[in-house]
Amino acid sequence: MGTLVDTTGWQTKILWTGVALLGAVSFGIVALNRGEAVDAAWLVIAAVCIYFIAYRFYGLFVANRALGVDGTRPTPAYRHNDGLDYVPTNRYVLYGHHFAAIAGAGPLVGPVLAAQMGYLPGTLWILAGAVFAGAVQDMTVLFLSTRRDGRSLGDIVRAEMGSIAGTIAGIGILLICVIVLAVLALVVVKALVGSPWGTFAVFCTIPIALLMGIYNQFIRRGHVGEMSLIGCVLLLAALIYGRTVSETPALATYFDFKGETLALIIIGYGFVASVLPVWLLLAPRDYLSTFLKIGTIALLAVGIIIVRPDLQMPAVTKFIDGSGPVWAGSVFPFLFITIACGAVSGWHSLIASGTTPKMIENERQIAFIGYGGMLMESFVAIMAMIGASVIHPGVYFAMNSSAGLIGTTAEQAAQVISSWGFVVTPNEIAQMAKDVGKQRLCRVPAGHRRSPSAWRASFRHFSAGRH
Amino acid sequence: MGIWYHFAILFEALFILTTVDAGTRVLRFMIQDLVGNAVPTFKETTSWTNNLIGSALSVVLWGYFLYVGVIDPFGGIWTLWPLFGTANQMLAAIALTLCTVVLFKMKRERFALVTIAPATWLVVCTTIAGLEKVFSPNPNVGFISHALKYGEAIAAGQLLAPAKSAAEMTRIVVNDYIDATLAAVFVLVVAATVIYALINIWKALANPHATAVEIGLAGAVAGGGHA
Repeated sequence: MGTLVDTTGWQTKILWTGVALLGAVSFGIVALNRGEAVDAAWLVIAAVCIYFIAYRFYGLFVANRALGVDGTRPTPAYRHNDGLDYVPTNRYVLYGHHFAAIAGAGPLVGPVLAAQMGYLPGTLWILAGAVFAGAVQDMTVLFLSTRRDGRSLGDIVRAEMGSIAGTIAGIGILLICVIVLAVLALVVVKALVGSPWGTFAVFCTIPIALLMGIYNQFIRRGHVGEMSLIGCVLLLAALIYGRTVSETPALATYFDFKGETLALIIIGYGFVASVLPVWLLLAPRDYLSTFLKIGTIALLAVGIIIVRPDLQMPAVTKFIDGSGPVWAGSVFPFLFITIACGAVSGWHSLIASGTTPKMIENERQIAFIGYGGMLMESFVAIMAMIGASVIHPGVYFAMNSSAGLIGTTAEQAAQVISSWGFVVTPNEIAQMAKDVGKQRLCRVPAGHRRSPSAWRASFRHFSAGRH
Repeated sequence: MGIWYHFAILFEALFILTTVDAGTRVLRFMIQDLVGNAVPTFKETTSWTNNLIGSALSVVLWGYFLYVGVIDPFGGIWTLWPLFGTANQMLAAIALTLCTVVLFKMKRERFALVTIAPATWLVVCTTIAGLEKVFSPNPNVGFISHALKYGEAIAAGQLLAPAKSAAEMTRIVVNDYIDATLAAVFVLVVAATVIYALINIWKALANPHATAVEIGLAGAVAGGGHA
């Protein structure tokens, strides 16, 4: 995949010129329009054009010229093939693994929080950050680690910058990694508590992944297409059957866990996924999840181009001064901290120097997996930004602001939010609370109805604690 | 709407769980590499003993903070949560700085701008953010001013949300000081990395040969050992 089409032909030149023009026009509409609501479809088109051009003209340039990838050089997956951690892996399966591993909560949560400053600052950072920082980082670290037996980031710092720098950076990296993992696991626990439907479907991905791993390794070796089809069908079946499970009390009790139990289960799962050979559980499960993720995002993108909703959030709000109700902090530097995964995230450098370099088949695939994987994640972030911007800004602030600021009743909230210039009526907020409450009721036993502040809390579980 | 809501839950959980499982393995590699500097045999990833010990250490490290965070709203990961964003971006700053050093050591400095530009941006951004997190006079941003605000409230016998008791007020203050200390440590780690990077770039420029420590040469036979 590293090699791309021949660019000397005039057809190719016309094609790329067309993509560039379309991207520039779409982007101009999004960035320069003032006063009128902008159609979200332009943002989708602009982003996709920018990604294609960035990959073809910058990503491949960095890979081939700046780094000098060498397709004749045996990769660690072949030199150390042990059937456990070092396993040559089909590039699409590996793309799936890499994308799933780098895409945590960030691409969804960061842009939603950043939308309080308007859609434009966040969008610009997501696009520019991914193309010039995030994707370059992911690809370059993947390249470095691939050339060093798939060693971890701290170890490479030690080898290249000396043992003192290596020890300082190594301990810092370890601490950061622990914080990130614990935070992410906590978000999973919060999402699955009291949700038998979600829990059942997530549990099902484990046997499905084992089946896929065994199928691809022993039954029909190398038939990635067949394996993908089987996995995809089973995953959808699990998702649909999850409803029956959640509505059948006898079954639902098996998948309705308290937070403590879920935490222990996730810890146990993490252990097993770390111990078992990478081809058996980890790679196929990540690949399987990527189907669902990329499929959903692609459907959303198509949906936006068909429905063409307006971006209701202003391009820039007054909260760029740092007084925002969702999180405090000015555009610089905190916007660039809040939007991590969609633009650039240190976490990715750990994956790019962890599992992926031990599985890559050829250095020529580094651009596709490292640079391309990051662009896909950036696109997820753009979709999250659109999601947060097409809803009524008043409703957005009602959902995301802290109860301390906007009060606990719909009337108080409507009054406070309207005073910020985002006119919203108590009825609109109450209606939305009711809609969400209704969905919550599907899985909350009678007598556990949530108060208005509790549904807000349930939305805010990502942002809680952020100063 | 019900199905979409549950689909969103599943989507979110799946999205993140795939990061957690791969991350646990990555943390195991990191522990194996780090401990392996003292005990070289521990680096060997083919050993099941190393695998089991490394994996157990890995899940215990993050699992402890998770479990305590689940049973205690002011403990475990809740203590460290406010550092999450800044620490993660500091890691990117360290990674891109390393990439820059290696480009110089490969004698590819004419292309080094591709990593110098984002590395500089991230170092500046995260250092300022880290310092603001520690010292900002706005209690919504700075840990120390947040701790002082809660400390004054404790002295005045008041309770501030989200604390519901005097004991929780004290814990919030303690958490703030832990976070302030760690944020300062991370700023120093980034600064130290940049200083060592500059020293190594200087050395690489002075050396006419490529000095990057790569393993396995072009065209080498598969299965080659350490170079």
